[in-house]
Amino acid sequence: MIASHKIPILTAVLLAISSVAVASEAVNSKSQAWNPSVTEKLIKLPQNYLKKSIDRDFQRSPLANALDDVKQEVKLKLQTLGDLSIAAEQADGNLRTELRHQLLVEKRQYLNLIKQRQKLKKEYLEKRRRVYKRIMAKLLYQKIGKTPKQVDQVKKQKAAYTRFQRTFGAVDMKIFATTMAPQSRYASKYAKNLSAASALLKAIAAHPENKRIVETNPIDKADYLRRLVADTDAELALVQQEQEIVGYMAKLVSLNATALAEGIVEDANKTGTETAEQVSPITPALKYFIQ
Amino acid sequence: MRKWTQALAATALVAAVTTADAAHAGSIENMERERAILLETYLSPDMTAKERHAKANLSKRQLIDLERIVLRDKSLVGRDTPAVSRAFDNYDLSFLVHASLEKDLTIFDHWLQQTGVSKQAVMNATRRRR
Repeated sequence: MIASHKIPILTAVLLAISSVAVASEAVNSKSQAWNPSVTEKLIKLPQNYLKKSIDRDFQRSPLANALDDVKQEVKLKLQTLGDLSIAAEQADGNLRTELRHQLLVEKRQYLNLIKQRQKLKKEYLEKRRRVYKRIMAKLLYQKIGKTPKQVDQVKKQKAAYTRFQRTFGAVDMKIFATTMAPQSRYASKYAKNLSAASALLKAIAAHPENKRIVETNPIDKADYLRRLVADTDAELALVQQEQEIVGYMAKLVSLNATALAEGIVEDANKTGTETAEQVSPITPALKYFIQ
Repeated sequence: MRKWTQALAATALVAAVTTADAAHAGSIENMERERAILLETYLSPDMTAKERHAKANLSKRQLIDLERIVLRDKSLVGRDTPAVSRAFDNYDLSFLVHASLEKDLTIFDHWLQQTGVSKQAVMNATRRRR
């Protein structure tokens, strides 16, 4: 009789847990946000700093905090599941049934947490992919988004600069040969600055950090971004696969709950029958009929 | 402490990237103005040969620097404005001093050649009333 009352209680507990989870999810979704913006500064950053900058921005967001919190909760819930599972195996009778109920409730809570974590992770990955795509689009626009006239213009400017560089030395020699006046202020300052700039360029080229950039990332920035988008897509595909797994786990929990409920009903019927046999009014009366 | 160092590095990097292409406005206009003064000096009938020579030399030295400023101005790359287009459409006429020295001609001869007027044609011309 007592055991048969547990079925509606179990259902009520499960419903309460799921409704609480949904409500808290709705409240949390507002505060768990990450709104990255694609600024010009971000686009101009070298490729290896680009990913770091986005990652750092995410780490500072409420969404990252929420993900960390859920991760911790999942870890704790797993420990609880392990402890309960061992306890349920070792227990007998009503306590065993009670612990199995508790285990199912905890499993359900664990699945809710996993679902929440997947939702947050999916949100993060989708936003990250959107950011990479927007940077790539802006980068490509800057690179090839010029009008034919602009392309022609750049070509002409390059040709002019090449011609100037080619004849620079000869022109200088002719100027000095034809005029006795000293070099202009601009020319002397420019020469000084140029030597300073060359020294700095040499220092930049020799810098270990710069060497590391060249060694680890020899590919073009757009290609690098394309690779990041592909990596994010792969992670999203894994999250989708995990969602399917969680679906199967939920199905299994549901089947376990049904099995447990049916087991309890069977036990109750069995106990009921046994009790009825014990107190059957017919058996004691039989002796009267046999007489 | 580490966060501060990272922030400093990022700021320095961004500053370096953004200041690298600071625009130098008006370099073409300055060059064109100086070139006009030089051509005016050559064409002006109100000067003696000595005055013309002195003024043209001064202008020429000034124009060399201005032409180099324009040619080295990275802010002009890809800029689609009439002044920029005009300047790079014809190197020989825009960068007059460099082009004339490259061809071993005087600036005025080079300019006449580029505008389609030869010394021979000028010498053969006759003065007549319109």
